[in-house]
This record gives sequence, C-alpha cells and structure tokens, in this order.
Amino acid sequence: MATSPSGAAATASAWWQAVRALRREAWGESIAGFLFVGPAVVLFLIFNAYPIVRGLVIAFSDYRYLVPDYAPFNGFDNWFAMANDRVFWESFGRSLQYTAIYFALNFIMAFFVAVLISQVHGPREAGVYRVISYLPVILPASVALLVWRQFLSPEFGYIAVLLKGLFGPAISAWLRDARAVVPILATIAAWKAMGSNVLLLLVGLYSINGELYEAASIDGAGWWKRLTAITIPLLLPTFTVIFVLAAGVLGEAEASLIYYGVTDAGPEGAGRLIGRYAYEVAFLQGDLRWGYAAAMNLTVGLTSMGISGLVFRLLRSGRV
Amino acid sequence: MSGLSTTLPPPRPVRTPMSTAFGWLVKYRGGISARLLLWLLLLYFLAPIIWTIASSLKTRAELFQATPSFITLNPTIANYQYAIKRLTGFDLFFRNSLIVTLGATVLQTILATLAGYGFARLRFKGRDLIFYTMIMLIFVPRAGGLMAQYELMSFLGLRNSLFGLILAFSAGLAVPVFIMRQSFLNLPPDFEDAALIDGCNRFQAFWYVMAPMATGSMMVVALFEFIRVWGEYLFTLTMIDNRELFTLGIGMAMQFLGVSMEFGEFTSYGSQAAAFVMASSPVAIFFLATQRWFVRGLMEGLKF
Repeated sequence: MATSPSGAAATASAWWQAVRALRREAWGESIAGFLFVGPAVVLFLIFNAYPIVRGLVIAFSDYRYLVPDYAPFNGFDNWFAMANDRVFWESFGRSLQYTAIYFALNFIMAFFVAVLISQVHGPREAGVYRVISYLPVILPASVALLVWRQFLSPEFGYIAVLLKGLFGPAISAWLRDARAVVPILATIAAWKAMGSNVLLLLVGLYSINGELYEAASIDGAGWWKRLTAITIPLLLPTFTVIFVLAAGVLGEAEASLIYYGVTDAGPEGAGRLIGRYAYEVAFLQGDLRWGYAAAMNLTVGLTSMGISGLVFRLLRSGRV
Repeated sequence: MSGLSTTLPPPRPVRTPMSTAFGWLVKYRGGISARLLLWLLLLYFLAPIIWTIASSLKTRAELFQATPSFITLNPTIANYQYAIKRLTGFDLFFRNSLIVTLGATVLQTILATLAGYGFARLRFKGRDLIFYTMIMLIFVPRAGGLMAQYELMSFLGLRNSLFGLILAFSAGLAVPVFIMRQSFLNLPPDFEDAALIDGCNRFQAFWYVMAPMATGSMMVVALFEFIRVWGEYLFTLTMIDNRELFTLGIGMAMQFLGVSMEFGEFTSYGSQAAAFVMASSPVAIFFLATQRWFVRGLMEGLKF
C-alpha cells in the first residue's frame, strides 16, 4: 500500500493537500468522473460515513434508545460516569491484556512462519503452506469460535485430553478458570487472524533483494546479524501495515459474544472485554444507554490510535 | 609467486537468492529441521480444522472414546445426515448466506472497480478530496458502532431484510476502492489512450481495455468481501430478528449455544462438526479456486 505504511498521518496530509488544491482544479471530465465514482461514493456516504459522524454526536449525549425523544447533549458527563464505573475499568484492563497477547502471538509467530515459508524453494510446496496458513482466516467467525470451544472443552476436547495425559486429571479445571479466559480468547483470535499477516510478511520478504544476504554473509555476518540488520529493518513498513490494519482489536467484541453467547460473559464475567461491555450497555442493559456506550467506543478508539501512533514513531525512529 | 594458487580459499558454495536469515536452518541436515519447525507451526493452524473434519466423520463409538483419535478409522456420513435433519432451517440459513454473500460481493466489486478507475484515470474537480476523505475515515474511531447503523437501518426500513444486509456490506468500500485505484494506476496508460484515439468513449475504454487488465485485483477485492460477508456475525445478529432470514453464522451459534430454546437440543458434537464443515465449505471452495489470483494480485496490487 503506497500510502498506508505512514498510516493516518500521511493520509491526513494528503487530504489537506487535496483540500488546498480544490480551488485550482479544473472541472475536466467531471460528468464521466462522477458517473464512475458516484455510485460507490453515495453508498459509502450513507452506510459508512454517516454512522461514523453520527456516532461522534451520540457520544456527547445522554441518548437512551428506549426513552422516546430523549437525547440531550451532555458534554463530557459520559466520561465522568466512565471514571467511576468499576466494570468499565475492569473490562478495559482485560482488553489491554487481550490486545497484548494477541499482538505478541501474531507478530512473533506470523514472522517465524513467514520467514520459514520464504525459505522453501519449490513454488508448489510454498503455495501449499501459504494456503494452510490462510485457512483460519477464511473460516466464518462463528465456526472458528465454536470449533475452538469444542477443541478446548474440558470434557472431551483434544487439549484437555492432552493436558490430562501430561499433567494428570486436575489440570483440565484450568480450562474453566477465570484467569484463563482472556488468554484463550486472544489465542483464538490470533489464530484466526495470523494468516493474513503471514501473507503480508511474505510479500515483504519476497521483495527483499537476495544479494543483500549474499553480501552480508561474505562480510561474515551470521544468521542473527542478517536477521536483525537486513530482514527486520526491511520489514518495518510491513509491520506498520499489520499494525494499522489491526487497529480495531482493542475494541473487539465478537470473539467473546460467540464463545460464551450473548447473555453469558464467561466464568466470573472474565470474558467481558470492553467491546462486549459497550455492546451490553447498548443492546442488553436497562434503557439502552447509547450515549454512554458510544462514549466508551470513542475512548477505546482514541486509545488504540494513541498506542499505534506511539508504536509507529518507535518503528520509524528505529529505522534510521 | 608459486604459492598464489594454493593459498586462495576454496570456492564459496553457491548461495541461492533465497538463502536468507535462516539459511543455517535449511542447510542443517538438508533442510529437514527447518521443515519440521515449519510443519510444527503449521500444525497450530491446522489442528482444530483436522480435528473438526475427523470428528464429523466419526461414528458415535469413536466420538466418545476415552482418548479421541486424531483421524477417523471408519468414516461415516451419518453425522451429516443427522445435522441436515436436526438443524432446523439449515437449508434456509445456507440459502440466505449465499444470497447475501454473492449479492454483496458482486455489487462491491463492480462499484469498487468503477470508482477505482474514476479515481485513477479521470481528472475532475474534487477527485483527490473525495478519495482521501474515504481513506481518512478508515482511521476515525467508530464511536457509533452498531448503534448508529441500527438507527440508520431502521430509518431506511432495511432491518430484517437481506437486501439491507447486501447494501450495508457492500458499502465498506474504502479499502476495495484503494486497491482498485492502485491497480489502475499501475497499468500503462498507453492502451487506454490508443483506445480513446480510435474512437472509444470513456466507458468503452474502461470496459474493453482497462477492466480486463485489472481482473487480478478484482479477484482480491471479491475474495476479501466473500470471506468477510460469509463469516460476518455481529452486524447480522443485530439487524436480523426474523428467524427466516438468519444467515448460517448466527443460525448455528443460536442453536449450538442454546441461546434460543425454540431450536431444540442439538448436542452431539459429531453432528455439530458436520455442520461446521458444511458451513465453511462454500468459502473454502471459493478460496481454493481463487487463491492463485489472490496471492499474485496481492503481490501486484499491494506493493509497498
């Protein structure tokens, strides 16, 4: 992606340039142009752009869906409520943990798998491996989560049988423990998403000039030196793309909603990630406090933007 | 002088371009250890899938063995028959999923291709502003989430409608338009100029000359959308209350999680596994049929 390694910042500056150039632009082939882009733009504006803008408005109001004609603007009151909401902080903490595990698994494993696949010489064999690593990505979310639910079931799931065989029967209780919930959900989500990262990393790896490695090894660089001095620096743009594409992970709700069902938040509520909590506030609890839920979503979105901005800076400074 | 030839180091082994950072692993015992490591890692991707396929083919006795086997010895299709019979509405859910997925995929690919061409090849006022506004909205937090969409869909009367789902899903156009624009930007303009000089109008130049050269990227867009819509869960769950209009994803989750009592009991995990296999097969078939274009298109279209 030509523009997106630099992510939001580059897009924003390109957007600002487009705004300033607008006055100078000629009408050109405007009729043909609008006929080509019009249908897509109209559909996008209605179903995509409008809900985004509308959401920002809702976040600053005390909108309760079940109370008719009631959506007063309330400034930052939703954030004051959030500060005192214990469930919010607990869920937010779980989501941070979830995201950390998700990224650690995704970056490290996807990287190793991609490097190992890039070593395979036969194009057919490499193709088979690429397809295998991409299979979890194509599975429907509900199938993936329900399959893992069976796979991890303490009664007759494989993992339980394996653990019992290795460590004795007591161990399978661990699968029901509240502390295991977030790591399990994060592992499943990482499993499902990893294939696309493998593919992106492979595109990056295949485009690295092999002569670089040759020159390095002639100069006496070992595999570790080659990894840290050539492979990783040259893959930094790919890492940034992966990071940008996964920006929604912090607010993710689907995994928990499928794994435990809509009404059950897991043992001791440990499956209540922040995205799920916002969903519950918006669609299940009391008179459906949409304003509060939207404020939570906005907080999560801004936090994840902040974190990716920070990481982006770190990655870029490491490159020079 | 005479020693010159003897002191030269032996010729270096020829290195292939791909002997990269982990070359040591491949060389080690003729690549066996690197392959074993790779296979071990790939097992993590495959194990749940193999297990599900194996379970779906097992007999009742095999399913409840104390130590479940990884593969099945006496394959049976009884689980599939049972799943189709007992999972009430399976055929209906399947049909709904197919309608929504095909509809959204076709509509989005057409719209993204047209728009990508317009943004890449035509000069008109506001072109870049519109394009970069679309891209920039990717980065704005979705504060409204499902709520704003719920409101909008109710207002338009598109809740509980497969057509509504198709429209909403195909509207996620920012990334597809980006991919198609990129792909048209990478094509040489000469062909198109020749067509225009020879008397084609813009649409003919697009339809007969440029679009056929961008099929790789179109496949990428179509595959992404097919996978996304076929597997979608939360949006569909929120927009559809009418059981007749459930897609496979929510239909199965409702039944297996016992969310709704009206579905009855459906507990045998062999037949659940059979249902999983059937629910995944269309997207798996589509992926396997198009993956050749997919990897190539991704490498050409997403060069960064």
